[in-house]
Amino acid sequence: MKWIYKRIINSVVAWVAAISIAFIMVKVMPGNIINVLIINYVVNYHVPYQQAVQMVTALVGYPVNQPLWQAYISYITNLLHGNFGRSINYDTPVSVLVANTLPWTLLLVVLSLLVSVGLGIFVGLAMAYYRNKAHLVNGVKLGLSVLNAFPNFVLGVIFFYYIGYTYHLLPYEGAYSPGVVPGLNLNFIGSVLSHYILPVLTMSLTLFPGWAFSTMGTATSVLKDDYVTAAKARGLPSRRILFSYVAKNSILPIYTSIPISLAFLLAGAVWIESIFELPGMGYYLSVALGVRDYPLIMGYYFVIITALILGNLFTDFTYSLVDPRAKVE
Amino acid sequence: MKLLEVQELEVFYGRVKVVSGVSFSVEKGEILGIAGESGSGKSTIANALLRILPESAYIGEKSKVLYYGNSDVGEDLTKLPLPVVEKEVRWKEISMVFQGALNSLNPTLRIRDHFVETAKAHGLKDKDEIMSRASKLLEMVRLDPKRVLSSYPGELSGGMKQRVLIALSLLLNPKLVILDEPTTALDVITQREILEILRKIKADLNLTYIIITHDIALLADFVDRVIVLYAGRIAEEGSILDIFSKPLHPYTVGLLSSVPKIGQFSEPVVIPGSSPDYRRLPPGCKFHPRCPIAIGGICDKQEPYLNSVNSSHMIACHNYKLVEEKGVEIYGR
Amino acid sequence: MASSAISRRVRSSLNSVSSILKALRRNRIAFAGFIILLIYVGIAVVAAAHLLPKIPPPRVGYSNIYAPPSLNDFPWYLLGTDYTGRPLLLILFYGTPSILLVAFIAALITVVVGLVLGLISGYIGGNVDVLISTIIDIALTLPTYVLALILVVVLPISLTNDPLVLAGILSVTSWAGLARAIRSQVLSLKRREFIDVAKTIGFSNFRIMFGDLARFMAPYIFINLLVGMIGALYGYVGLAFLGLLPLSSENWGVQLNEAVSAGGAIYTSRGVASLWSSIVIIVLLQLSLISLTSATDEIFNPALRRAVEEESPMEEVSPG
Repeated sequence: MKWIYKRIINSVVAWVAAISIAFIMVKVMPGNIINVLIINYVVNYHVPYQQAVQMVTALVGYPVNQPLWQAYISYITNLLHGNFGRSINYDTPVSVLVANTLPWTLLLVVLSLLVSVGLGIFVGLAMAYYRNKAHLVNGVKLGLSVLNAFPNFVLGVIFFYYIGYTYHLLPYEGAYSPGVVPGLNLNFIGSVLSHYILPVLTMSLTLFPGWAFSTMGTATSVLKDDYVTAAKARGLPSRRILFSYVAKNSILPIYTSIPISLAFLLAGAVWIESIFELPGMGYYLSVALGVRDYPLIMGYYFVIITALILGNLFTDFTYSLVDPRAKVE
Repeated sequence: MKLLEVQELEVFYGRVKVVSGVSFSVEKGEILGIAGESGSGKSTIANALLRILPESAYIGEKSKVLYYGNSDVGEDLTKLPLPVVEKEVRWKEISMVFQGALNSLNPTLRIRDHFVETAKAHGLKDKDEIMSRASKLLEMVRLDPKRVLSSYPGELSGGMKQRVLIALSLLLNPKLVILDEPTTALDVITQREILEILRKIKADLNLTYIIITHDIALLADFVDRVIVLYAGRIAEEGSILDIFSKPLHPYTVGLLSSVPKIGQFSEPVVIPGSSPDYRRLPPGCKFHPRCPIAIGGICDKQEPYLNSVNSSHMIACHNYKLVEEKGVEIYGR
Repeated sequence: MASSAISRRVRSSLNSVSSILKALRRNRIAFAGFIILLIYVGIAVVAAAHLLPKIPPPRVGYSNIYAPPSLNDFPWYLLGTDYTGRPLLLILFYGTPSILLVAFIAALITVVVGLVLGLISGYIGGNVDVLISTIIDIALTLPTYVLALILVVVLPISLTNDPLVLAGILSVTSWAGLARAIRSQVLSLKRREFIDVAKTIGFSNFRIMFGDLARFMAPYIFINLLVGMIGALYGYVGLAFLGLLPLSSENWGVQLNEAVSAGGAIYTSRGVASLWSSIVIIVLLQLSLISLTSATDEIFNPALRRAVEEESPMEEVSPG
């Protein structure tokens, strides 16, 4: 059990470090943003200096004219209380914006992860199983490599333009059709899901080849393992062997790649949500980046980091439950 | 009474022939040993019997593997459709004990799952009955069922895994058990134990064994009859007495003499040369490049047939009379 | 003697180069990828050396923007014009050197930092290892692209115009995965005999680390260089696509961005050439890098790669 504590401590250290980096980026880095904001208020809005300082304090969420260490402590305290400052662009507390946009991004990321991993494992297992049909496998490998070569935003642009805009095959703008009332009704859910088809497809098509290749690699070596031959000798049907022997032993080593995919998906959401106008964190982050809305940027950074660390922890814990070989003493 | 009769077995890996013209039979209740160095085709023959050869390998058309079971009529196992082999032959009639220290058990399944899935694959669905049978078998191999059944393979030692594999092989009351290197990679004490267990089980359950090994001591200790394999062909075949007291093939002589004996003061024999490359086998006798008594003009041109010397002893060598005469001295000792 | 030792080293490197070329020729796709990469490099060199005709000044007006392909001033108007009224093909060519440079430097930083930290941490061990491992763990939790997006915005434009700074931004935490993998590999290699032999002969730690150990992992390092380029290319074009980099129409990502935004290519049929040219030039480069990656994989010892990856989570082949 000791390793769980070690992992948690590691995660907390990483989390604190990441948060501090955000603090450093805004306060300390060249191009001192705080000063820029203050000066902006004083010069462009003719606000007296003291008031400007107060306004910027409200914006970033910690007192800006205090010495470094004090400001840092206030920063952390405010964070833990859920005070992330106030968005310059939208004049709303960052926490509110985050709360409103997080669900949309979560939906995109979770759906894409499920589709990518599921499809990737399926194709990877198939490629390993049919490795004797060399031409088929090589063709699939080529197709996967081509998919891999497309940055997800490029594929998103293509889907947006051709499948959406030109031929109107699938919804391509927004999270649900105008006129649909949000709520727990079938109409709304259906509309949302249909609007998410293209974004999820874009993300998944560019993510799943990596999973397919990894799975193919592990499955190919598992197929050569002795316990597979021994299982055949016992007369076990191929279906049983494929699932309980090959799949089970192939998926476990690549389970730990899930956090990597998660990080990629969270970053990719910035592009995909922008292209398909989904009202999620990614879209708002891209806008905030464009207008230099620092409080909002940092707020989203915080959420993404926390999500990744939690995701990592979750993967580690569940892995030991899933893999009997990793039974911790 | 014959249990198994192999006729002209040929196995190809792709285009390479790795087993050629192998014929032998196994009597009910006997222990047959198949001996040879690594790569001589021993495991290939065993795999061919159960038809678990890898995908790129196949059995030659002319080969016949006649299994008699309880009747007088033999079924050719090589011609049976695969689903029939899967359900009726594998494990029900013929089972196999792989090398336990290897990865022969699924690391992600508990031991009891191995038993249950095997039984289910052959139509046995009653979980309680399966578990009670499994427990009895595990006790027979001197393991604690309660502890072992709920364990994962990773938690068991090599010797324990070997015994689990033996117990597993008996689950469906087979008549013939093939044991592939059952004692290799085990320490000497465990080896002894395993052999004792195997002897007892054989007596209790009326089993027939085929033992595949390169361990001479195991052969001497355990088997009734020996087939010596070289380059996928039978070099010599005989009872344990025939082979050990009067070996007739130069390869057998070299094999036996390469193990130092207590009280022997001469140096053990090292057979010159290296194992054959199946893609480029020499013409004539496959052993002749390494043979100290090869006869030019005969051994390098004509492959020797398996000839009977007496009722139990068969030899495939042109020059075996010289071996009869000189014994281990043919290697200059 | 020193000179014969040097000539021996040169000869052995040439031998491995020729064996690489021979292996490339066997794998036709990889060979094609290699040629394509060379073409890109050639274009970059030609553009950087000012051997291309100068870009004409921007021209406004409906007939000039996104003009359809024509045979004017062959071959520069083959793709028509972009949103500034200038020949698209020429513009894209001019964009090549900076993109390749930034991607390469970013990959180089990733590999060098990852290699050095991994070697030192694994080989020296002790408190140094604890310190560096903690840094690696922290860097692992920070997503490269998100940080890059933010840094590009937070840092002043005077800095982000510099390709070196951009390369640094794109590789700010991407070295962490490689560092961890190399550290694991070093830890297991440390116990092997050839290290003991080297120590007995009296090789310095530095020489053992960066000579023998690094050479042992050279194929893996090379593959990671290619993978790093793929990732950096994705990030660089992506940053431009979002409009976060100073607007310069030579950047392929900017072209793509312009194509998608209002008044852009997708809303007029004339802009299709612009859209697809940007797409093709990006994807083709990625494809060639990917095919080289898989070829290098096949050429060099696959068991080596498996050994390293088994001790660390598998990296994506490409961010896609």
